[in-house]
Amino acid sequence: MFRTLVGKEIAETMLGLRFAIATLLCMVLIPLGMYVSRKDYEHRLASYQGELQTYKERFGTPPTPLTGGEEAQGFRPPSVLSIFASGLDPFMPDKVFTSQSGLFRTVKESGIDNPQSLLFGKVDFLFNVMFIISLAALIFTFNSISGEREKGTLRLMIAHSIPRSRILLSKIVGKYIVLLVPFMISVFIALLVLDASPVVSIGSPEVWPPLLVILMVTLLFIFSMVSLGVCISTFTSHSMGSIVLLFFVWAMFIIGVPRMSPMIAESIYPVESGSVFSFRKRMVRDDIEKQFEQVKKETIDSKWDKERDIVQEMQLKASNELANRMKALGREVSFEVVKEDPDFRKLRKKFNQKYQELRDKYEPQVEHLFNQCQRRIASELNRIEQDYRNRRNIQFSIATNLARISPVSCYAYIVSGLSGTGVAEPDNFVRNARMFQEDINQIFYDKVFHLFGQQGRQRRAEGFNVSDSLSFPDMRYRFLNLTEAVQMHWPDILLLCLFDVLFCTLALMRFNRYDVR
Amino acid sequence: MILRCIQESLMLKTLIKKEITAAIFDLRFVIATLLCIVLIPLGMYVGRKDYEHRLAAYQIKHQEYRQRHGKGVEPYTEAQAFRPPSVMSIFASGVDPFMPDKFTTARSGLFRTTKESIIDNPSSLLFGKVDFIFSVVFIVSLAALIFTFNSFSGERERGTLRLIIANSVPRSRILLAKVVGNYVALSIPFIISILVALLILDASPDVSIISSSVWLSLLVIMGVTFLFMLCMVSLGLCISAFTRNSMDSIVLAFFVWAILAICIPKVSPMVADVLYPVEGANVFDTNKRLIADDIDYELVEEMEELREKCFEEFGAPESDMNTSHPRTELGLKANAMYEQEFAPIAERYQKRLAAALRRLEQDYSRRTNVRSSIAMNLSRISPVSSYTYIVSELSGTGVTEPDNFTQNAQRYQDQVKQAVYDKIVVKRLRGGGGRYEYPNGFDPGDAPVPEMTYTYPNLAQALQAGRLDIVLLGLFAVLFFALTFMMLNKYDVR
Repeated sequence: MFRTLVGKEIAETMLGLRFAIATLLCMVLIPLGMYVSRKDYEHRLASYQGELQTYKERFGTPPTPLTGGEEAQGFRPPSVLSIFASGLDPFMPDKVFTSQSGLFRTVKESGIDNPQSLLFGKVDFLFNVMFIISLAALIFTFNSISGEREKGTLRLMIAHSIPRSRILLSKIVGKYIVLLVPFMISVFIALLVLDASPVVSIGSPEVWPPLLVILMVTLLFIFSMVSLGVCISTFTSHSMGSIVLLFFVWAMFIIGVPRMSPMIAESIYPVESGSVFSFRKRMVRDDIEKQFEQVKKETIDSKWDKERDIVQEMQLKASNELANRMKALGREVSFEVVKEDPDFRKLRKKFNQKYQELRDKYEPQVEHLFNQCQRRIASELNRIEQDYRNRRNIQFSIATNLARISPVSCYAYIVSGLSGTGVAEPDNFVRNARMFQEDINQIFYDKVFHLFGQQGRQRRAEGFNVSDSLSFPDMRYRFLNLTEAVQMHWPDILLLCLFDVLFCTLALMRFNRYDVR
Repeated sequence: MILRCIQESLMLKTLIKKEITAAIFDLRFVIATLLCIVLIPLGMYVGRKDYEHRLAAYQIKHQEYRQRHGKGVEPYTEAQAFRPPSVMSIFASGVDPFMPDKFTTARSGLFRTTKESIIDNPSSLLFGKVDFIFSVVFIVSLAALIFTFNSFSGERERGTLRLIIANSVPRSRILLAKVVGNYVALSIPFIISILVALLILDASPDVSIISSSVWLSLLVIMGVTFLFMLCMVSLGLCISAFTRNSMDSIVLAFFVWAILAICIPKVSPMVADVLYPVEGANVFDTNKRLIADDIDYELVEEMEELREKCFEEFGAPESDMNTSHPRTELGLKANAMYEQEFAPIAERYQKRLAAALRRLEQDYSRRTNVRSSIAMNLSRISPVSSYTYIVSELSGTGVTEPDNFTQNAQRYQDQVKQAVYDKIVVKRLRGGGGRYEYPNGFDPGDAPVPEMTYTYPNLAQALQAGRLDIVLLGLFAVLFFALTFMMLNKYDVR
């Protein structure tokens, strides 16, 4: 009996206008979107490789002698799976510059190739499923109960000895299967299109496991949309009402909730923007440096200058005495004579030694103070950065959790996360950049010391020769692997399952009390 | 005669009134109002906040840069300038999030554009923004279709269409009444939410609506939006005139909406890319740099040859060849001769480089223009794309903005070249080194670095660029209306 019911649903839907239209849309959009995203990925990969190569040829080995301030550059490779969900990829920085201060810079070389496509957005797999498939699922199902009531066929069905739960379930399953047919065909074609690319192979271990998970999650998502549609139709008693409700629910779930939750989070818990924050960091840094300069002037420089003045006076006195003595002996005193005279030389040597002693006495103090200053800057910056990151994370988790009211945002989080373009990717980029900075620190920056001397900063390298050429290593960029991504997004997967169950239960509850007249 | 006119106008008024009341007392009106009132003001509030953030970031960067590097140049100075955000980008963010916000001029003439990118709010980027244009294109247009998709087919089903037709009202009048009625009913929630949104916008300390750069563009945007809504209302009526029952109408309406609002705008750039592929800007930049390098390499080779020749002619010692301050008399003479002969060669190469780059750039921009005009004209099949083009153009975030940015950058590059780069003469040495000279009393420590004035296209220019789209929107409205009229005249009211 159940099979007959499902068969009836399938046959009914397949012969309808909606099926033809949904099939048409799927077949055109999903393969075309895949083709274009694949092309785009190939472009991005080529430009990444080109840039890396140019960099290695030109700047990979900085010219000697090394100043200690050289910057190494690391590049972010595009993620293969970004073909499925471009996510944050167009906004991500693609380059990191390490710096001797430890504050690396991230930059995006941006030439706008195709303004029209940016203006309207891309049609990747995620977009197709989120907008087209979900709308198709709702349109397939929105009047499955209310429409049959209007036509009067629901009464006939109920008159048979079939439990209502069975009818509802057969409707959900039937519609689900019908929707899967065009979807599966178009995904299959899209995968063929993808596999035809010379740079992407679906069989490679970094592609197929996440791809499988993405497809599974997509099936789960489509099911939740189908049951949502059936649920809508049990809430209304005629098709017109269903349509209006459908419009409202779709607009809220697809557009309203995902897009508004970050905004709401921002108004509830405002956090200053990144550029303002980095400006504040620089201010803090400058302030501390200025303070230490002041301290240095007051405690060390003043003493040092005083003692030096004393020594200078002594030198002046001694040389005057010497000159007077020479004059008394009847010798001419001029610049050349002073320069050559052995007595003067001895005097100068003696005082140079005194200056050196002074320098030896105070330079360690200066170095100590400088190190202290650096340590304080590091700890202060760490502190405010930690604070900033905490506040960002709070805002971010408010936004994420608010958005999870809608299954669409759960789905988008999972797919983009698995594609390496999700909301965790900016943090991942920063982590990679920091690791790169640390690598460079180890091999280079840590070995260069700076001293505050009378002439400002001086440089001293340890462990290597500044005139030897040095080549910086490449950045090893690591995307989150499958386990990490799934670990991060398990609440979303769980929520999707829960939404499935919730919508089915709600539909069942409503349908059990549904007035079939 | 006059009596009939009055009677007809009264009749029309009655019809319109009926339509308006029918639309307003419907559930759809409530839901559309709810969506409009929530989404448009909230979107405006967030857009305004976002603009304030961007403006603050720009000001900080700009001021800091001017303080540090505004005065005094060094031989290797590369002047930088920043792009201020456009006020109107609150209404349509368009390509703004993708635009570079900084450019660095260069002595070679190849300025670089970069984007300091810190991702503040990943979720918001993942799902996109709800700015004014998005609300109109997605919510208001869908609402317009939902308002009207069954105005004929629904009345036919209920049998009320027969009754109306039975009266002595021409069908054209009925159609007009439906268009006007639904249009007015749709405009009410829209206008209310726009007023609230504008109040929110005006409360910002950084934005004032009555400033001349804002209110004119705003007025035009509103005008275009009303035209677009008229388009969508008549499209909905057209759909309902094409179908005989509500179910078909709704399926057709969603289909048409998906095609017009999503497929055509998004697919046409892709199709253009497939039809007329152009290499990416990165690849093009690399090509440019390669050509510049090649020419530079030739120059260096010729320079070394010339130097060797000069020094050989005078028989100057080898050691003098590698320095710009030769010690021997012969070396000095050879150096003088070399410098005299080298100047025209350098100039020639400079010209050659500039010509090669210009040719390359012209070719590239020609090809991208062809592609972009294919994409634009393809997408103009849909009124949604036309509407998006105009509004983003008026907001300074349209498809011509990247070009405008490049023009601004080029202008600044020329300015800096005049003020700084031309004042510093580079004497090149063998082996890649160089020496800088400042002729004619140019004081590098005191020389001001020119300040950038970024200009967005003004209203007249934007209208010039978008006039085709405005005409198209009008045409679409007329087309849909005429189509509906044709179908309605043949409509089987039974």
